[in-house]
Amino acid sequence: MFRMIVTRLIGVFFVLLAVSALVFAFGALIPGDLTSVIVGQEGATEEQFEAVRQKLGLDKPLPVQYVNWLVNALQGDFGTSPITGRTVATDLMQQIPVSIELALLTLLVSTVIGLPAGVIAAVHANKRLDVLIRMSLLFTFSVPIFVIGILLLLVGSRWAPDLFRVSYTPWGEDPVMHIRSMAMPLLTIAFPITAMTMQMTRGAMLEVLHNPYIVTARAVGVREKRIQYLHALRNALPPIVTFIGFQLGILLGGLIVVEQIFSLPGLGRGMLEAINTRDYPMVTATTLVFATAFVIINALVDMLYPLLDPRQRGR
Amino acid sequence: MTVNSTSDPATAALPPRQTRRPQFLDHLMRHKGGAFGLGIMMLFVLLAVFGRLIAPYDPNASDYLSLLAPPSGEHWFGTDELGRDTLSRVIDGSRIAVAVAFLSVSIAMAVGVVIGVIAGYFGGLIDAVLNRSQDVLFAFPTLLLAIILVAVLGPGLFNASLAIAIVYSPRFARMARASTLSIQTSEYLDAARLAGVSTPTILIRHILPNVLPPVIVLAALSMSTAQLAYASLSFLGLGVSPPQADWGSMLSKGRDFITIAPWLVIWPTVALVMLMLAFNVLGDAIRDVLDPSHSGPGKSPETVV
Repeated sequence: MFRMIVTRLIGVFFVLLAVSALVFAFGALIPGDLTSVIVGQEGATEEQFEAVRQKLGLDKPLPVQYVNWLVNALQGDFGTSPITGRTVATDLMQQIPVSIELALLTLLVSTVIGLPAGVIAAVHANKRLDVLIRMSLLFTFSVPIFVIGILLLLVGSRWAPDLFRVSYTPWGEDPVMHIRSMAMPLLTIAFPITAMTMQMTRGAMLEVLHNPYIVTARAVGVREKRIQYLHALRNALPPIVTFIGFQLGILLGGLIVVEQIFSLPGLGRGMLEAINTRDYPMVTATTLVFATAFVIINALVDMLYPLLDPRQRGR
Repeated sequence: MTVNSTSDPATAALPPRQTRRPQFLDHLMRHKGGAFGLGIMMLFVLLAVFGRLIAPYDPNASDYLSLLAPPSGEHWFGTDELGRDTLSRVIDGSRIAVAVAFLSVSIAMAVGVVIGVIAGYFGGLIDAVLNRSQDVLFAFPTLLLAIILVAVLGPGLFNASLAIAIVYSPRFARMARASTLSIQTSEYLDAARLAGVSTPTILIRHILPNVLPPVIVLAALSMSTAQLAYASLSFLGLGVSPPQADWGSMLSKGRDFITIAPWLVIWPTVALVMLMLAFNVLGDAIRDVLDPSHSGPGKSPETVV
């Protein structure tokens, strides 16, 4: 088990290294360059360009630039944005908590609702309730997140003006307003994620429910709810948890969209803004943060598997 | 893919391809969802091709006398903030939606099949390098990768399609590689090699026909995903440039007028969801017809971006 974790960590290290190189390459490939953003297009002499290039280390060959960038990034220094004049790290420190809060709330809501709903759907498999749940799933899978967001805006503007057009307020300033400002984004992104958890739970439960030990438990007279949630769900859990890694990709993409729709000052919005304003240090920094989070959480979920399923520990 | 199998002994083992195509269409039309999905998709393809002739107005012409006009006999779906006819713009937007779906999936399929077949057939170092580079691409959330690729390539219809194609090509490569590996040791390949058939010919004549059916299923299932990915990109302002009508950007603009002109978001949404549903249903139908061994209605939930 210990060996498995170590091999896994080494693999993660190399993937992260490759990811950082790719992100740096993307930053270098985006048309235009940082120097002209800083110096300005007109009236700048070649000497001015040269001075800025030297100051930023852009006159060195690309591999050297990459190593410098990576070493700085590992220390939390992503440079200074030529657009805002602030260090990229300052902006990241403000954006990351917003995105993390939304992501964690989404996982919480989708688990609290999706897990029991999946159990209920599996227990009532192919009855009316199950069919109803699955119909709603087909709809959710056919509708992109931003359409859900727009539909909610449409409904919200009519019937819940309190939740509609509330600009983002930090928790520290006004907790009530904060909850209000997060409600619509959360609802939007939790919708498809909950549907996925539900479908995954239903499938995993169906496989477990036919096992002999469930029949035995029933015969012995264990209460039905106890069978469903303690005996069956416990054994159905490993594939459901592994699935979180898969959901995460959708969740992170969803964050970008939802933050854009509801003007939340999170990492996704920061990234899009940076792309639109050609804020190169910001683009590479946000992309790197997103990708790193994705890789690391996926690895953690993988390592969680033997903890949940003792049968996997022997290897 | 027409295979002329008169001179080559190895191809004689394959079922004759000429009869398969109409039979496939026949099965598809008899499939419950197949006919429905194909019908809706054809409707959008027709709108895409002949849209400019059908549309009541020029999609980019402004009528300053009726800004944000609600749906009426004159403008069935209302008008937007510049007085442009929403119906005409929704019709014109189908051009982009259909084009991107076909273009990006075709590129992803072509690139993925070439990479997958080469990796599977030659193995060794090539295989290892290609596999690792795909792992790195898989390390990015799909939408994030698409966004950053568009940032690198620049906006526009083709670049957006190319970005989506790059994101989805590893899936095709994996599938093509697996199919190639599974027939790598088959007797007719040995026979072909012994008969002195050149490697390119073996790849194209003997491997490709075996690789294609599962890849086509994946392509059909990917159409809706690709269209959705593009809609998300264009909603985020990374699609085609402004005057061109496009569902994603229409939704993004219409959001600002959602309280006073809800028709600006309702109709693009209806079109988008209908086309996605058609692609989804058609994809499932094609899989049922081409791959009857697949059981259960479970579709990959990855359609949600």
